[in-house]
Amino acid sequence: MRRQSKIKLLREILSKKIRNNSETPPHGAFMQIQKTLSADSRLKEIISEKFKNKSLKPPLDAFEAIQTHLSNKEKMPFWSRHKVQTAVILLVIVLMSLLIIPRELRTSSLSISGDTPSPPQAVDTNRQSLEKYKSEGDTISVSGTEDHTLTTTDIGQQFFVSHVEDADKTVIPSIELNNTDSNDSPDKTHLTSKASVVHSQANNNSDLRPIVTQSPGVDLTRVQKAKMKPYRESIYISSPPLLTDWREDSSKNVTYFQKRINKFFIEVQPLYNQLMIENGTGSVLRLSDNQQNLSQKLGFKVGGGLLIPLSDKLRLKTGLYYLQFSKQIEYNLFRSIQGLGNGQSPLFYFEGDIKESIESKLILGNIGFELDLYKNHYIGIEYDAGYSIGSTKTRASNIGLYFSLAQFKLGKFRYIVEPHVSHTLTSSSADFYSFRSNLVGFSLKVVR
Amino acid sequence: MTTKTLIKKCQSGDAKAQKKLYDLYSGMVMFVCSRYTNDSESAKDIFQEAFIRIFESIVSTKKIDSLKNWVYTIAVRTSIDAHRKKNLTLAEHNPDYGNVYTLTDEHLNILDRLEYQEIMEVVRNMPDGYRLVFNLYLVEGYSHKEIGELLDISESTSRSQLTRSKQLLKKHLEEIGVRGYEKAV
Repeated sequence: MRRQSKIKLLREILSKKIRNNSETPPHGAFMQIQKTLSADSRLKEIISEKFKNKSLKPPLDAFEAIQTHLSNKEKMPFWSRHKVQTAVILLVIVLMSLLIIPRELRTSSLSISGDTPSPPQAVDTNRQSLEKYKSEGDTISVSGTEDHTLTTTDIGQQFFVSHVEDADKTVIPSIELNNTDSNDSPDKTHLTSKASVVHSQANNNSDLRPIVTQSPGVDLTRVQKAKMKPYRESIYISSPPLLTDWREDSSKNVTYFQKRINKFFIEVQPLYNQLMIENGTGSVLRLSDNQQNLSQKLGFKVGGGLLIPLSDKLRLKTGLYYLQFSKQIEYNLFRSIQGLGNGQSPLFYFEGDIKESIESKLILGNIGFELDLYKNHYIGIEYDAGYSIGSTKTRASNIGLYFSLAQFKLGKFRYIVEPHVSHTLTSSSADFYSFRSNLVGFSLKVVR
Repeated sequence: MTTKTLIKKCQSGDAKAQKKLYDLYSGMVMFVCSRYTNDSESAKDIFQEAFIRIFESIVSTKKIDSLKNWVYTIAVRTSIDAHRKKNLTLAEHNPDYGNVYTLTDEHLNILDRLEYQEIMEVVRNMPDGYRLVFNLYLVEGYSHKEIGELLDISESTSRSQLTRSKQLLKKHLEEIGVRGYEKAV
């Protein structure tokens, strides 16, 4: 017989003979057991009854000591982790923008204002030049209407008379051309006429020398409409603005400036939360891997702000948002117990099932950059940081990416659909564990 | 002020609400802390630590079903943590002590007649380990398995610690009984 089967047989025999046998217990054992159990339970009852709802007088100055301890804890150093993160991210964004912004814009450029400027290097405006340009088909003339709206024609020439009420002064008209709105069709360029008033002594030349400035990227042949802003006195342009050959290198004897037109936007974003609970660092509590999202409640983010063009392709976005979401979640929580003096690693025991309803209402400040890629489509990177409403202790900061998926224009407004994805950097909700939500959504942005 | 309002205000750091909560439960917390220590200074330290933990935890706790029970639990946990910091070592189970004691009905009757302060005195005078297990088992109602997990000891160690604590209690009760008997006589 094999060894295994011998052992099996032996077990069967012993089991029959021993396991199923019994022996008479000692006399009174059952009573003893009952007695012990009842004594134990009675003892428990007595002790818990004696100690129930009892209290002792606390130390006199304990509350003040507690408050002092709490307020000392709250005095965080200026450079907290949250602030360091924010500073680093802003620094990275600024450094990136310095790489992207064209060099020309970083140098100082001409600005014409109401004070007495020294005229820039103006180009000769005599008619001969104009004729020359006209014959070459490069000229564009501007004509004024009563409401000071200038319209342009491709070819054609009209003249105005410059008139200044104050004889001591001479008006130097200037034309400002720029692509102010990169969201608009690239075919449009706004033309703004300004006038600088200088003392006549400074310039006795009756031939007005219009100052023409142009920002990079402007193709004058596409100028369709221009508006003239009257300066203090009523003015007319006496001669068409001189138009240089725009195909010339813009760095030759011409200075440029760019007129910024800031855009307002409002944005609405429904949110779907991928809520994740993480263990805090050095925490006594620990979460199990068994997490269940009981309800996938949607949230939303709404806000608005300003789009400030930094260059023809780059915009700075700043805004203020309100974000709200709620979610129910269930998870297991474990608490640690240190080994008792024997250097053991902490033991985690089951603390309980936690069902939690998490709701966040946040006010967020937003800063970001949008970079135009192709035909008004852009990508953006943004950073949000803020506090929970009703509590400055609950903070959140997110970094997000988005791009323009589809857009259309209606009247003065441009409607843009943007997919967003954001990642939570900090989200303090609890001492021991933090809730992080990675938010995915689409937003509808309206820009004016 | 309702409990809900009190909790909300404490969560937002309202000092008055914190004082109110303190006034409501400081006595209870002090009693809990006293039960787990043998000297008043340690009890004060644990008491202060417990309330600091209460005020810090209330900010982040979403739901509190019973504020009193929640405060009580934190007080007990703080007391246990204080013992852990002491690196307490509990003796392993000695089978010789397994069945030595039996609290009879007489003992329990005497115990029933005692005021809680006197029982507290007995408990305070116990060694730390006995006192810890005595409180956790008889007062808080933990099982030996749970106590073992809480204190990182075996179940049998927990049982033996309880047995020894009951022996001390029995001894004290017998002394009271003898004195009582002597008075009667």
